[in-house]
Amino acid sequence: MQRVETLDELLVAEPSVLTPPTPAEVQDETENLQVLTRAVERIWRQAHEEVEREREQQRRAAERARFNLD
Amino acid sequence: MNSQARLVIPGAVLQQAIRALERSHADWLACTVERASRQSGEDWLTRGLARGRQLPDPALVVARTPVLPVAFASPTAVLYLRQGEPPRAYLLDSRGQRRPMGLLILAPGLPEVGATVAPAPDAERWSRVAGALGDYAWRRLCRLHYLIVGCGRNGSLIAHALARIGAHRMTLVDPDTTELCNLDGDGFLPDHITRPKADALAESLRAVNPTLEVQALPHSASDYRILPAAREADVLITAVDDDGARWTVAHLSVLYLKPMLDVGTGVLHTESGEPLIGADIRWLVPGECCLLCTGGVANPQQVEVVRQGLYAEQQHRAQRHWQRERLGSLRSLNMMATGLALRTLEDYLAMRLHTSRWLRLVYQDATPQLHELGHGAPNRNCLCAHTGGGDKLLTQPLDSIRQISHSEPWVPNPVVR
Repeated sequence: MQRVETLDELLVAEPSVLTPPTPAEVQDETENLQVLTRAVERIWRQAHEEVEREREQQRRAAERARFNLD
Repeated sequence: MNSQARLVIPGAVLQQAIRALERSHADWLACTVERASRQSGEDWLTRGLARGRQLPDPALVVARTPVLPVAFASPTAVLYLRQGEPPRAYLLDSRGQRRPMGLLILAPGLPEVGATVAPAPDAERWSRVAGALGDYAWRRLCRLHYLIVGCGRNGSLIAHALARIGAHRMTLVDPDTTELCNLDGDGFLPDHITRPKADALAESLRAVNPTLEVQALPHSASDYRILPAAREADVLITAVDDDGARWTVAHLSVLYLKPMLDVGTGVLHTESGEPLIGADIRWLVPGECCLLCTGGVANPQQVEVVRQGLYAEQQHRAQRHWQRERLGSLRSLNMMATGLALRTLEDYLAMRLHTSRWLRLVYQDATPQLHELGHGAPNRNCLCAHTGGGDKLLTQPLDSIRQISHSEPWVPNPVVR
């Protein structure tokens, strides 16, 4: 197998990809990739929001009274 | 693309991994994986985040950098994630060479890339269902491989419904032969009597949809001969009247990361004399929950029988009498339950349903009532501990076996002795 240096080179290095897919297959795979990307983005967003919520809770828990005069 | 290796990762585990990356600001982390062979290659089943300092072997590295600062002694799966870019999965060998992997995420739509492309379904024949579901969901529904365990009333209705909306691949499992009383199922004909139910149903499905690839396995769900088909399938469907079979398939679902659709119906005796009519429909996505943490089983003794082996199971089957367990069966109820089950699957593939789901249909005073009971969460007494365990954990005893969950079971039959 040809050695590849970058991720993008994979697309030309992998022999099975060299068989030209039909236009319908290309369209299917493109749509599959879009759905997969959206699924990962949604999971990422949920995870990020959860971590942000945790950090906000930690910030609130660490907050102390500052004003004790007058 | 005909992928040799495929990375399978439950959405819940991916969410855990991304959460850990976000918390720690790290560039990568490792997950434990198990490998399972399939006809067209090998599945790398993601189990969960790796614990401890040692890198697991084999491992999945979830990375948000293309350059990994470590070398791996044995082949390692890498899932490269970068916000705004498509995710990429590849296999990294010890020489640093990369081979692309297919990628399946157990998330709404069951998105997968790099799978062997199945023939395009005939768009004209199924134009109505494609129009209603949307192109993506319909194509996904057509290309999934369904393992249907139980070919009775519910199983035959589901199989025929799937065949009629364009499903391309199915495996049917049932150890029983067709009897006169089975003719109210879908597709059974008088000529089928004494033939294995799975064979008879397969024949009728081929008549409905000649392009359907259907395999009949006239064996019990716990028979080792269904294992290759379970590894190959994408969705496991249980339409059984035995909780031993239900539990067995639930275990396979968790081990090999296959979402499970379970349908159970009943027209049961009650002390008041009024029949209790209802159904439980459960859509269970590995990583989120399992059968045992989402309602459990109504009859744990049947699970014990299956665990004693095939001989005990055959004896148990021979001694069962339907009148001790139920008043009878209603095709109308089977149609409602399987309709709800199929709608649940359609909604998940169309990304309208985002999680596992447990629906209960109960008739009260001649009025159908539908309840959403929510799904459970992994706990130490359920099957979830074996998530993604593959062949390695197939024969390991479960700690949970003496504590089969009884939370919200399907109403037990009061006259069963």
